[in-house]
Amino acid sequence: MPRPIPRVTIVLMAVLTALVLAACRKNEPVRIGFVGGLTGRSGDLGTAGRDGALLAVDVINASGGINGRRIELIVRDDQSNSEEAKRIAREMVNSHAVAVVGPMTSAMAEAAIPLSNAAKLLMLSPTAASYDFNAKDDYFLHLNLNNDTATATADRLVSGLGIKSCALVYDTANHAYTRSSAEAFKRELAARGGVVTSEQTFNSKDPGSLLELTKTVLARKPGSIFIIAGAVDSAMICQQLKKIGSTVPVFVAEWAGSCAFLKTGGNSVSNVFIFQHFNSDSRSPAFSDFKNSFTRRFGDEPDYAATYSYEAVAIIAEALKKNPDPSQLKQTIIGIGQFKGLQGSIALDRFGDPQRPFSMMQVRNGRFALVE
Amino acid sequence: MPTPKTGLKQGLALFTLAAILLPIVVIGIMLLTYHERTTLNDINRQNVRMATAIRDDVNTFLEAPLRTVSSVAQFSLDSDAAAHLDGLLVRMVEGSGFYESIMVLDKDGIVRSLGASNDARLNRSDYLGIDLSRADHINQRPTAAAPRLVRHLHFAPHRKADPVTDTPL
Repeated sequence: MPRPIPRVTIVLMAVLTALVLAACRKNEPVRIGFVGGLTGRSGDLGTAGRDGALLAVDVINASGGINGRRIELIVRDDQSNSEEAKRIAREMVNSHAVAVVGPMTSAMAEAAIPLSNAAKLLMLSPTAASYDFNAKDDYFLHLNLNNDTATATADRLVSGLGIKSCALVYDTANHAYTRSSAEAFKRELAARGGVVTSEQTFNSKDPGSLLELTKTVLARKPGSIFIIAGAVDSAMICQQLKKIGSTVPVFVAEWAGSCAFLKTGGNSVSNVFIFQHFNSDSRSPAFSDFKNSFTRRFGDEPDYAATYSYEAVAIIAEALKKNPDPSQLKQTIIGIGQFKGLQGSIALDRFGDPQRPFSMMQVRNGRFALVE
Repeated sequence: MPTPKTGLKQGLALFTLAAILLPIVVIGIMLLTYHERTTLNDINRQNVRMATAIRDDVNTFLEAPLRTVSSVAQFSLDSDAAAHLDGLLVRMVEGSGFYESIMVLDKDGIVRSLGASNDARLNRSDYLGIDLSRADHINQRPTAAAPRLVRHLHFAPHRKADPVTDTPL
């Protein structure tokens, strides 16, 4: 008759199995998704964001990961297409990503938010800044804010430059952002006694003739022009203004504040104003280190999309270190509330909406230079 | 409860087992190490062969577009042909299947001539006269007194936009 297996052996085997399973789990990477438009006319925002996120992942992994687990970044291109953004959101849920960095534009975020809410998957967008996302208790948090820059632009026009008329030009392809920004700007300008002389729209997916659009804008003789569009389109409109010989002061929205704006715009974007939460000349030691590492690795200086994406990954990692339960991630982030950003602290309120300082910049010698 | 004793039979069995297994394990580890090394060497050799083949294919693939570019450069320097340059550029873009657009820039980086394919949906009037002096591929080129030629190297199958060169899609 075979001898029965001693109880001690059974207990030891069970403990050993549990340890092996725990070790496997510990070695399993933490999957974080990245979603942005990597192609098309807004590709600058997506690629910069992706690069910032990649650098953050490398830095965190090099310093031991999240409680010993490496981060794996799943990068997807939404092609600035709503249907693709929805498909990717579903894919992220199925691939057990703990969180998603992105989408990078408000229109894509608008498409993906219902899916992330249904699956309780946290989306932390570095750049999407539509007013529609504010003060909502959902699974979408964002690091960029738009309310104050529209107010500041209107204020600068009327109080700073003494200009009371402005032509508004905006891209309807990212309507979630541009429409809400345009509405806020008109409201703020009117409150200061200013007036919008004309409102011209175009769709960056098929923009038609920007030269004709620019001529139409100038025909109403505006005192200034406010362009709410991506970097490439804003730069191209500035190119048309320069060709026509216009000297009207131009403001662009923060969406345009990337390297692509400076490179595509050439000397035509000189003296253009932009209100940004991001300062490319920041002397913060954390930002200097990041800027050096980013430039060394990717060849370009980081813009706001790259910087905010880096911060988004760092925020997710910090929260997961504090509480590794991904189902509690949103509450953990909001509970922490205050994060050390690359250029200063980032405060998130109970809805996950950010508070961060901003500055007025002007393009000088091919760079965004701090004005005030 | 009596403690189980290890008998001579069991001890011998254990030693025999160890005597059989130990050489197998040692020889197995040696074989695995050797196998790993030879496999890695084989993979490396195959990678180098593949990379060389890809390089040769790419070089062959790029020869035709480079010839197109050389022809454009010749024409742009010829004052008699300058009037017909835009038409020629359009034909070259459509004929090559490689470019979405070809632009000829002056020494200040201003677009002076332009040929674009219909697929690019590029609005001619928007691009003529714009200043591309800060675009990477212009910035990195040495300054030259003569007109310079800028290629838009967009691979049509991928449909990837280059924000620097700003080809609309």
